[in-house]
Amino acid sequence: MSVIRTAQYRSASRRVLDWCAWYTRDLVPEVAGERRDEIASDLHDHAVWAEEAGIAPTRLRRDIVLRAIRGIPHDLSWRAGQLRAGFAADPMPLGTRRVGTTLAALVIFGGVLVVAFGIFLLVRIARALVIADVEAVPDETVMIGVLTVISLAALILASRRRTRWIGALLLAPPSAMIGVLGVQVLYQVSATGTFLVSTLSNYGPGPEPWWIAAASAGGGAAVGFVGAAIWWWPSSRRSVLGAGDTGARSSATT
Amino acid sequence: MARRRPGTLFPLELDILDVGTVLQSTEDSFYGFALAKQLAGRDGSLTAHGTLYKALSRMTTAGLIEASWEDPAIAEGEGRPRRRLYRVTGEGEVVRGREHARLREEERAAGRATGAAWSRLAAGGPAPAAARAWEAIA
Repeated sequence: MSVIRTAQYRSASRRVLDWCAWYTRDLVPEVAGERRDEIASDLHDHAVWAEEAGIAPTRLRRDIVLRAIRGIPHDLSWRAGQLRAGFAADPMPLGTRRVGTTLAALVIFGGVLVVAFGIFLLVRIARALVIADVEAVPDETVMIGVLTVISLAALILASRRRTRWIGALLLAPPSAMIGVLGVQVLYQVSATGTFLVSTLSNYGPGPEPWWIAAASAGGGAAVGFVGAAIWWWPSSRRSVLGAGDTGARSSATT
Repeated sequence: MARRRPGTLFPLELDILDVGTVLQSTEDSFYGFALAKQLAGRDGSLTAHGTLYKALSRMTTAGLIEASWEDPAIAEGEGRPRRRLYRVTGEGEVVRGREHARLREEERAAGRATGAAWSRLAAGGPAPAAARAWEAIA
């Protein structure tokens, strides 16, 4: 049987072409198609040569996969070069695309922090109840639980391109509130929390410094999440990019 | 990823120009896998897809080689995918010649430096680096 018809060659070439399809995604069809055609031709020539040289299909598969793996850094570098040269299928400027990617990373990171803080607070409350540090469940517990659940749902939504704007928007209220609630709870259930809040309260008149710090951090984060939601707002995205979803922002808001 | 010294070619690029010149002298043009076969290392390992085609893409953009697609009828007739065919351009020939001249000059300079060091040693004096080290110790 010809090497080209063997399962080993077929699986190896499929993997290489899948990889090629992955790193040529988002490039203009002409550039992407030429790259894929050239790799397909190379794979075919490689198989014909292997057959003439008497190379076993298993070794051919290994050679093809290793060739592809060794070239991965150059494939990615080539892709980056094509995007820099303006061969992206999406006409959005590279700078805008980078801002969108960075923003997504920040939103997801912020969301993870909010969820982690909420879970941490709930664990501390549970621990305090178990070891009888507090006599009753703190009043803030239900609200912290609700905000944590909302944050978790928002985080899941934010991790998907199509629903990223909803996720960012949903993260705003929990991030604004959980800091202040958290400090109030830690004051009751944590010795360190009690110490820090008491120490900070000794500085100057007016609102409690811990409240200002927690509210400012939470408020700032909430403004950031709302800003991110506006960046990904779907109406502006549809108006420029049509039905296709790139998950990044359109030029309407640049 | 290796960084290019200004005005020089990567070794792979020079190899492509060398092998490509030989291949196109008999075949009129050359294609990716033909290059990979000729460039294979002593252990028979072929140049990685990404490395080879990125270099070809870069050299095409730089005007060192030119690319065109094979007539689909020929590929179809032979029952295989069409190949992308390359040719070394006039500019590629000039750059290739210049790079070989530069490498020869570097070799000569290295040879002169080694010869001078040996002469100094033969005359009883240490090589410059060793002399500096002895001076520092003294």
